[in-house]
This record gives sequence, C-alpha cells and structure tokens, in this order.
Amino acid sequence: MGHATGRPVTALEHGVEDGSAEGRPDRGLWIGLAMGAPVVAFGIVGLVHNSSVSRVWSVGFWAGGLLALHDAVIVPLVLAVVWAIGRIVPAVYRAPARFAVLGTALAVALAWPGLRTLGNPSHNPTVHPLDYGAALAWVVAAVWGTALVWTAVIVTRARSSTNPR
Amino acid sequence: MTTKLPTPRFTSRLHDERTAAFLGIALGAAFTTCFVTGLLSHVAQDPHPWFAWPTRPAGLYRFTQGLHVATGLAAIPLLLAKLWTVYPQLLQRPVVRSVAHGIERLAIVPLVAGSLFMLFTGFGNINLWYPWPFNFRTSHYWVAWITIGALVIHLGAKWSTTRRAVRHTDPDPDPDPDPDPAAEPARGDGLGRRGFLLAVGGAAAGITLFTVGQTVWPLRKLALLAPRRPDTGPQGFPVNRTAQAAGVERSAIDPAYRLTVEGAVRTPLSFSLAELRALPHHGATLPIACVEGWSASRTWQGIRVRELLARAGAREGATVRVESLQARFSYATSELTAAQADDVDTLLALRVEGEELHLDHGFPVRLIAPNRPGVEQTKWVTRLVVL
Repeated sequence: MGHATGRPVTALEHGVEDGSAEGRPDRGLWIGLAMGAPVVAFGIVGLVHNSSVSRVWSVGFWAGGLLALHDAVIVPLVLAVVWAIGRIVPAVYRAPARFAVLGTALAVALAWPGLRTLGNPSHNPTVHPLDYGAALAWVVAAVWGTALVWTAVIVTRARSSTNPR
Repeated sequence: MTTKLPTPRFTSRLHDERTAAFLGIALGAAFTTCFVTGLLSHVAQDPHPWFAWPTRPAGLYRFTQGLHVATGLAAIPLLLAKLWTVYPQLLQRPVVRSVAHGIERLAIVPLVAGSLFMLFTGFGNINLWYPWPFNFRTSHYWVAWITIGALVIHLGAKWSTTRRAVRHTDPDPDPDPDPDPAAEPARGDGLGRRGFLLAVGGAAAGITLFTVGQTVWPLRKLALLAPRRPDTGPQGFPVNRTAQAAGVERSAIDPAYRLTVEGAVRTPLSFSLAELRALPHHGATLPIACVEGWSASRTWQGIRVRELLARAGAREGATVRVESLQARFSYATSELTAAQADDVDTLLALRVEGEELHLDHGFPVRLIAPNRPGVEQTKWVTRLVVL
C-alpha cells in the first residue's frame, strides 16, 4: 500500500500498513507482538502486584483520561487553530504564524506549574524560584522572534524568485 | 438500516507516512533513551544483586538522570506532532480490517495512553506536582514497561512501512489517478514536510534550551521553563526536602545530637557534634543529582565513612544503612553498598564550600557519595548501622 506525498489523503488511505508490499504480510507485526507482548504483560503484572486495586484503576483512569483529552480536545483544538490561521493570515505567512501560536501554547503549558504555583506542597522556596510570568514572556518573545525571522526568510526568497536579477 | 459515516478528508501532506516515519524514529529514540536511563535510575535507587551500580564516574547518575528528564521534555513536541500526523488513522473506516490489523490497532491504545501518561506524570514529578492519587515512582516505572512493550509491537508492525518511507526519496509510488486540484496546498500555504519537521525539531530544541540549564551549569541562566535553577537556594543550590518538611527543625539543632556507628562492629561509636568537628576532615567535589533532573556540583568537607567504619572495627566489604533524624519518610534511610562505603569520596559532610551546612542541606551531618541519586544522599544523619 502506498501513500502519496503532497496530495490529499483520506483517513481510509491512512490504514495501518501490513507489510504486504514486501510480500511478507504481517510478519513484522507478529515478530513485534512476540517480543513486545511479554513486556507489556510484565508491566501490567508488576503494576498490579505493586499497587492496590484502586490505585491500578486510578492509573488506568488517568492514562485513559489523558488519551481521551488528547484525542477529543487537544487535537481538535489544534486543528481548529490551524484552520483559523489559514482563514485569517495570508498564505505566505501561515507557517510561521502557526509555529508561533502553537509554540506559545506549548511554552504556556510548560510554564503552567510555575505560573500557578502548582505542586510543591511543602512550599520549598527552591522549587519554581523564578518569576515565571517574566520567564514565559522571554520564551514567547524567542518563539515569535524565530517566527519573524522565518517570515523574513520566506519574503526574501519570494522576492528573489520573482526578481531573479 | 445502517448509516455510513463520511470518511474524513485530511488534505495536508503532513499526514503522510514519510512524515510519520521520521517523527516515529525520533520519538522511538527518545523513548528508548528515557526507558534505559529510567531503568538505570531505578537500579541506582534499589540496588539489585545482579547489577552493582558503580561508584564511578562520580557524575554518571547526574548525566543519565539529566538526560532522562531532558529527553522526556524534548519528547513532548515530538509526541504531539507524531500523534497529529497520524490522527487520520483514528478515524479510519472500517475500524478493523483483519485480525492482524485489529491487533495492531489494539496495541496502539497502551502505546499512546502510556506515552501520554509517562510524559505527563514525569512533567508533574519534576514540578513536585502530584494531582493523581497513585504513587508516582511505582506507576511511572511499571507503565514504562507497558509503553515500551507496546512500542516494540508498533515498531514490528511499522518496520517495513518505515523503511520504505524513509528510503524512498520520492514516496509517491501510487500517484492519484484523479487528483483533486482544490485539495492541493497552495504555494506557500502552510508547511512542507521539511519545514514541519524542522519546526518540530526546533520546538524540541527550544524546550531543551530553556530547561536543560537546571543540570547543565553554563546554561543555567536560560533555564526559564525549568522548575529549578542549580544556582538558587541556601548556599547557592536547591533543596529537595526542607528541614521543615522533614520535621527536623528542632532535632537537628538539639545540643544533645549524637552520631552513632553501630550494628556489626567491634566497637560501637558515638560522637557529639563537637567531636565530629574534631575528627580529620577530607574534601570531595561531587554533584547532588536529583531524580527530578536538576543537579549542582559542590565541594564538600567531612569525615570519610570508611575511616569511621575502620575505627569501629567493621569488617571489610560491609554494607551500611544510613539513618536520618526524619521519621515517616520512605527515604529517611539509605544503604551504602560495600563499594560506596569504601570509596574515599564517600563522606559524612559537615561543610560545603567551606561553610557549615545549612539546615535545609542536612545540618549537622549529611551523606555525600559519588554517583548516587540525590534522594539517597541522606540528610540529617544520626546513625550508621553496619549490616
């Protein structure tokens, strides 16, 4: 099964590969399963053996919850942001604009515990020792600075391609 | 009567298998690095008979654990980008095409859920933020096995696809016979594959740049997103557990404080703080390297554990339990292997950088030994028990 690059693809076309292109259907999967399944089982048994039943359920709840949060909220949100930028920003600037917006979101997520003083129940002053609002501002400035440089490169290349001399 | 759902259409070229393959390779390398360094951290904290954690190089744990945390943080944009790239597969119909296809899809559930769980809990841990009710270390360790096992299954399933996608510089062996011009990305609209991969790599590099200074001293001023700064804290470096949190504020400064050496010894010993100060002191420059990924190197002065053991008449090759004044804490004691107890740089430190230890750094006496996790460098030491 081949996938095109640079052409539209559908979800169906993104079907899981089975190795049939090399004439050995599923061989890689079975080898991977033989090697990986015992490791998965070892992890599950270890988790169950070393935790109470409620804790195991709790781990499952959190893992499943994160999966659901990612698939049902974060990715659709990213798709919406990417789509909205495509509607608002001129085509030539879209890539750096998307980089800047998504990079900012990532930086905010990483700074969040410091911004909201999450955790650190014993109020250890050496945890989150910075002014994370100011620190985040510097990081966001770096992200947008990178996006601006990127934009400048795009514009310069576009001009040089239209004015070869 | 059944209703056939429309197949969603993803027009971006960035959802193709070549993009997914490159991201998958980077993510596989990152997760393997995290898994191996995580295992090393585990055995460094809980020595196993079949694996003796070495005392040298003194900064090995600092390196492996710093790498563990830095790689985990850098893996965040890699994972998000990879999942975004393959997101159309989530919506594919039919959901299952064959037994093999069903098994592969099933294995993706623990892989993705485990990956998100590992990165989220690891991120929470370095911030000392625990919004969940389960034990971090136990769950992080065992879910790592589940995730890496699922990764092995996924690697097997995707091996031939990945090889083909990476090898073919023109991965379009099956041109669309009826291309949809409206779906073709306009020139300059959005990212090409190379630009996308560069952007994701740049995000990973940026996160590393803004966090790795918590363990790489020259980059400490750039550690703007890190929860620690290696130059910030009492006596110029961080603390993981304060004296107040440990409940030793009074007992550590009690004039009746004594350090005892007991257990399998010929002559049990007991020292007041003044007597400890009068013993021969030695210096060692060693890192405090925390499991949360920060580290700081300092010059410590104190009494060699091996000299105390010799004075007490302990047998050669004995292991030693180091006990703290703090109570009801899983790391209130630690164990020195024979090699660690015998190392010339394993000290019961009373001073750091020429100053008496700050209370939060373990006053009056703390353990400092080469190549040990910070949590095992027991503070407020009151007893050595030779085993």
